[in-house]
Amino acid sequence: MSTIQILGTGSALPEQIRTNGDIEKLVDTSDAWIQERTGIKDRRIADGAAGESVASLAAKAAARALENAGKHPEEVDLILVATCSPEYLLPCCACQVQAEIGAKKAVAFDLNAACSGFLFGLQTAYCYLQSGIYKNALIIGSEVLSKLVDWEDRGTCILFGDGAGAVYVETVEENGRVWSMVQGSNGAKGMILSCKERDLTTPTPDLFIRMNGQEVYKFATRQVPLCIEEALQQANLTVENIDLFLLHQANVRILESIAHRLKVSMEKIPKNLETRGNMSSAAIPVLLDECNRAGKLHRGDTIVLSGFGAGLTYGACIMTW
Amino acid sequence: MLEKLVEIIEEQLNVEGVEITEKTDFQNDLEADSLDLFELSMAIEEAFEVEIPSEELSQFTTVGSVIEYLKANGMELPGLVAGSDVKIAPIVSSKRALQVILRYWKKHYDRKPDLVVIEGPKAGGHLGFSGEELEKYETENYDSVIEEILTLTKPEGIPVVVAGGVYTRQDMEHCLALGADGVQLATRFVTTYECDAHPAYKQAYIDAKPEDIVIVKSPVGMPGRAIRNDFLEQVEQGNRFMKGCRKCITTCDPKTVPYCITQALINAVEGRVEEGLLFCGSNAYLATKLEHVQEIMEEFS
Repeated sequence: MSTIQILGTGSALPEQIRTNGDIEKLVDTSDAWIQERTGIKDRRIADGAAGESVASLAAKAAARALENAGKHPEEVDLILVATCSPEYLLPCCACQVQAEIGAKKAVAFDLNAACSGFLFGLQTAYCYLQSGIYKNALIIGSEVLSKLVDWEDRGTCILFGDGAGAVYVETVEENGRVWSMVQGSNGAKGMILSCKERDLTTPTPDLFIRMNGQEVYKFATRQVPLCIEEALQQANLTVENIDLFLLHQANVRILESIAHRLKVSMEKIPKNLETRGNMSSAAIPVLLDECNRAGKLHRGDTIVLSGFGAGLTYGACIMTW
Repeated sequence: MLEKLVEIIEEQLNVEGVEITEKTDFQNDLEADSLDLFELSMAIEEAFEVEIPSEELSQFTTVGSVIEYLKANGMELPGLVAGSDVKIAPIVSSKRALQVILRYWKKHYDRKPDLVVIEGPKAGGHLGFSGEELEKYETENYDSVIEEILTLTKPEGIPVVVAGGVYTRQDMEHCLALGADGVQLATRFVTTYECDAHPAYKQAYIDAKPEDIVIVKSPVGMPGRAIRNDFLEQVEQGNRFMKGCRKCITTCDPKTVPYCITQALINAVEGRVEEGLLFCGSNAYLATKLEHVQEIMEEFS
């Protein structure tokens, strides 16, 4: 039976660190409050003057994933970039990455599903590879959210960080490998987490991220366990069969609540948001890369990836590492 | 209900070996922060099949306050009157609130309301709206909400009475035209000879101008409508009027509230209007003189 396998991972983070202490100087908040409510201590912030951008971070992460997989850019068939904060509406970020890394043969395009973007990208790649259209793909999540954040809104500015992560996947023919996927969207609740773009009717739009934190919290803690359970059912597995749950890194309290609802120990739910914040589509691939390079992933492990975010969008997939 | 609640609290807040009673304070006794409380409210929503708007969370200080909240929302009302022929009539301000009650009563008691009272934003006293909603409805028409609620009651054959801001025959006719079966008046009857309130209380209504009628945040945590007076101005300036607690409502914290609501209401009724909280409907300023109940009834019939 054919399925897909992640053969390489990579990530790229901006140099600049912004601590909770730095944010204390911008808005009325405190390090203790932020840590208690979110689990975040500091986050990386891109420096445009130093050339750090969604495209450059994405290209770096992609090159590292290829290197990790031992592949050459010219072999790449498909490049998918998940982002909601590109520098350019045209050309798409994936084409900028293609040019930057020299993946001449690849077809490249972006998709936007906010914090579920990387997961949806991986699932889209799976469909292409499974149908035989392409043999391999680079899936990248890259964000510079710091430019979309209102640094005067203490409810949101403490949460986000910048960065990029990438994986390289190939079709594999091997029996006994697990794959199951669940995706969902709920546009009716979309405005609880939004960020407006210029349009024809609003002369001076509010172009920052706006969020109803409690509604988002409710959505995440209720929806994610449901979709993970659905993916488990599809794969005929239970939580005991899972070695690691790599979940979107939005808030440590959300992770704890999901662990509680799934009855899973936090030891099986790695986290990096302490020093990364919420990097939207980049969160899962960066976490994957960090776990991979730290030796926490072993070939044959069964892992769950699950993302959730603006849209609203959510999804889960279970795969053999 | 306490037993079920204790189970949820132990599970949700991870507390063991602590005796949980109605007096247990979430913040001080169980060290719960705002997110813990939010999680707890989600668990309660799931267990009791209710919906708790997030702006009402601030009322949850003790275990007792949660019980009070669930009771005050009428969820257990059918259980209280089971076996008797007492009629039950929930008062609601939104379609969602009625939806939740209908669903919960059907599932747990197989019963529906005998009558529904819709209390709109122009009513007096405590209001079932957030401060923001009250502002919204000052400019926006509440009629559409009444019509929405009627879509739930009509198919069930439940009669509906509209309250809040009904002062004249014209107001009543408007409500009946929307589809209501009846109206409820209160403010209009305060300024009658027959009303047993103190003459000074009635005079405060007669003297009130539109700008004197304001929304205040009551010590029980809900907004309410009242006539601005010396008492309210002193409260605004931060003066406290607490002398002993009557333990009337668990959502009230006698250590922090600026005044005792029961005492303030008694003061008003007994004529100490400058020391009292003068609850009134939004049309109270329309009264210019005392009238007889009979005159009002004639106007409305």
